[in-house]
Amino acid sequence: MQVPKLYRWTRLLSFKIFLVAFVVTLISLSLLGRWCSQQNPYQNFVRFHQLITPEALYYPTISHLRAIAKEQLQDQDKVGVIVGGSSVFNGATQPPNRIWTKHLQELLGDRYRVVNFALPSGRVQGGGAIAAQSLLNEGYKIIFTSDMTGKFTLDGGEVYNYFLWDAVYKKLIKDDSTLRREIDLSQIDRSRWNELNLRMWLDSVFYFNDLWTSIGYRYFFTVWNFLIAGDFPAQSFTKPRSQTLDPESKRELKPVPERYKVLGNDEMVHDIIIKACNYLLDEKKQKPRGIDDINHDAQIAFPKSFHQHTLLVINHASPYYLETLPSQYQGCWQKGTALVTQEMQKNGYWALDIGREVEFTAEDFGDFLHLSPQGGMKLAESLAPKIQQIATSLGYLK
Amino acid sequence: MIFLSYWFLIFVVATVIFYWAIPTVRAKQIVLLAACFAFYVHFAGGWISTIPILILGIITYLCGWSRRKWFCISAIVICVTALVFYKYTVFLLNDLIHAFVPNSAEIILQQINPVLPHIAPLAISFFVFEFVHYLVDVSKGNYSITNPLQFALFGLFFPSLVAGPIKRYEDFIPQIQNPAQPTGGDMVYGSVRIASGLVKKVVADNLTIYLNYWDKHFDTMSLQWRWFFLLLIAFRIYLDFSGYSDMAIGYAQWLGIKLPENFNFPYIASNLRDFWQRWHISLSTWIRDYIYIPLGGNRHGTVRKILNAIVAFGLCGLWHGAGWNFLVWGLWHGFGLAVSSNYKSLMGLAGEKLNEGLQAVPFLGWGITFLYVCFGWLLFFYPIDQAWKMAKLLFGLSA
Repeated sequence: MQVPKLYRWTRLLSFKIFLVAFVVTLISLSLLGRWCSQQNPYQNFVRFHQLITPEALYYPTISHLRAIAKEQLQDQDKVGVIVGGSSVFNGATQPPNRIWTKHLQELLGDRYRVVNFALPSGRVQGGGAIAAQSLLNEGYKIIFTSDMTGKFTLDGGEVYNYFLWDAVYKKLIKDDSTLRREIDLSQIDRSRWNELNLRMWLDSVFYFNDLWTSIGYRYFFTVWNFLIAGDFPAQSFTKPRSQTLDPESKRELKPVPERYKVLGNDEMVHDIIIKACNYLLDEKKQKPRGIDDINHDAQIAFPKSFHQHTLLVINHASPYYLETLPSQYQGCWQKGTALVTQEMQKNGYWALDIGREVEFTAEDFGDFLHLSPQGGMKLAESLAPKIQQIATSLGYLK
Repeated sequence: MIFLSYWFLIFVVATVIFYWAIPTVRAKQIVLLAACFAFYVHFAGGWISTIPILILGIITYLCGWSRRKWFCISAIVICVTALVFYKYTVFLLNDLIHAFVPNSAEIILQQINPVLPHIAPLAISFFVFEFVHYLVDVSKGNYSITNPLQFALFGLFFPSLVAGPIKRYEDFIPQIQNPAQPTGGDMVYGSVRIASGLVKKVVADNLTIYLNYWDKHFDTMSLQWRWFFLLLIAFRIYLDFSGYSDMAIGYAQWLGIKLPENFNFPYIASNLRDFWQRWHISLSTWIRDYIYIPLGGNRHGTVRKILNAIVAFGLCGLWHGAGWNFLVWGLWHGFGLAVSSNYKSLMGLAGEKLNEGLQAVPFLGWGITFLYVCFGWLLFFYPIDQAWKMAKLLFGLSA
């Protein structure tokens, strides 16, 4: 069988030269990737909006999170407040110029630097928590705060679990054998788990994800995703992600109660709340209880020494829904959040039941769970003194 | 996509290194067979999925080894029955038989559902075709593979196992029996082929997400963008499939095995016959040799020739998937091939003039062929009614 004409030129190449060229190229790109991992490509960073997250097939690395934080912290005298968690703390329904973390920064003042690493569909364990731990290991003054919407998760969940292994294999945090064993035992799809480990180990050697993510943010990105669809076929395949606009920039919140109708009928949301209460409180006597799962994860996910640096904010839901629940479920959400707060405090975390601390109204929410700009300001005003209290207790403010 | 995992890359590099480090031919074959098993078990389905391919392989080997015609025919029947059972039972019962005797079809389906596998064994379409080719050739008097190791390698060769190219044992076995140390040029060629396949796959996978998102909006697109969409469909499948073939050929080359070419710039074809000599070449030659020619080919007059082509391509369509749209796609090509091969004789003087016109303006022949193939892809990817709707929209007619 003859080689096709298109490929006959390959026969002229010496394999030794080809191999040397391949190895040299691989090493050069790896070194470039390593250099990129130390740089912050995200100018004027506010948050990881949806179009620069894995939801849009863009995967920021733990190195980049650290580079962003270090740039904002400037030196090790500042107290870094790393924000993690879900879309609630990411500021969904808040435009970037009115995001709650900006207000928190203003309240805390110049001795603090607030960096928002919360992610859509994120959990307590995730990029923010891991970046915070790694910076703490390097001697930075760090307080980590996250919202708790549902589960803690040991590895950050299916979408964001790569952050943990990115940090472990790059030796930015310790490879906790208990945590690894627990995560390993929970894996259903072994081949995906094995592939993830191999991928992250290879990335810790070659740094290809840091290189690609940097190029993709600044110069061109070839992975298409429906979130950047626009009009057919206007959106190019190669637009760098730095040219994507934060989707929340264009959001205009409708007045109450129209803004709540977007989610669907009220009964549907009530069902969600009731299921959450049953999960946590075991109202239907279903074993295991949700709170047991959360406790288990909260004990293992972070090193014990990190618990005292962590402020967990147990989310409140919009009074628009809570006050219209069927009578037998009135107060169940508050019972649930009180229980979670109590259990997290027993685990050595700072925990805040935000619904008890702040008098939220329906206008303070953009939808069922996410705070509007107005609600975000109240959140910031409630957290600021708590963060200052934590900083004092950690001896950060001498 | 099995080839696109890091573990597969580690696996293939380790296999290649071990394979060439071993000096003796027999030991090489054992190592390669072990690697093929490991590939099937780990990457392609697990231990349970190996059972059908092992059973069919043993039957094929033994019947081929006997060199008795009726044994070979029985083995062919068993292989084809297995293919039909795994891949087409639900389609036959739900879509075909149900249309005539719905109650009976439902009863049968209920009875066999517990034993019906949820998914067909991976690559069953490919290894059954290779086994059938082997059995047919042996029954005609060609030599049989007596060495079970070599036969197992023929059936399980991992670069081509999952999606081809469909091998011919007369080309494959001598390369296994006398593995030639690859030259530097061979390794470079293999590496470039793999890289080329990877690039095609990146583009194809992007196009897939893009098209899957936008096809819901086809009716609201402007006319020119609908045609652009059709073009993207054509290139998506070409890049996807040829990219996979490139990688298969490249990995095989690393092992010193030359697999048959599967694509040769199909979209420059000047007529449908030319297209099928450039598209999925290993399949189209198989269809020609083991369905079209046994049916009579072109040896029994024009009408029979046309019928044979239509039947062969109908089966070719069904081979791609268990669905009416695949069957219709196959018939679309069968019919098109019949027309393009016979219009000269069937249309008399008008046919001659038309032929002269096409010869004088080659672009016309290319354009008609390309458009015909592109419209065929609508049938391949969408249910028949949706494909028909999209075709009407392409001409500005309301859906």
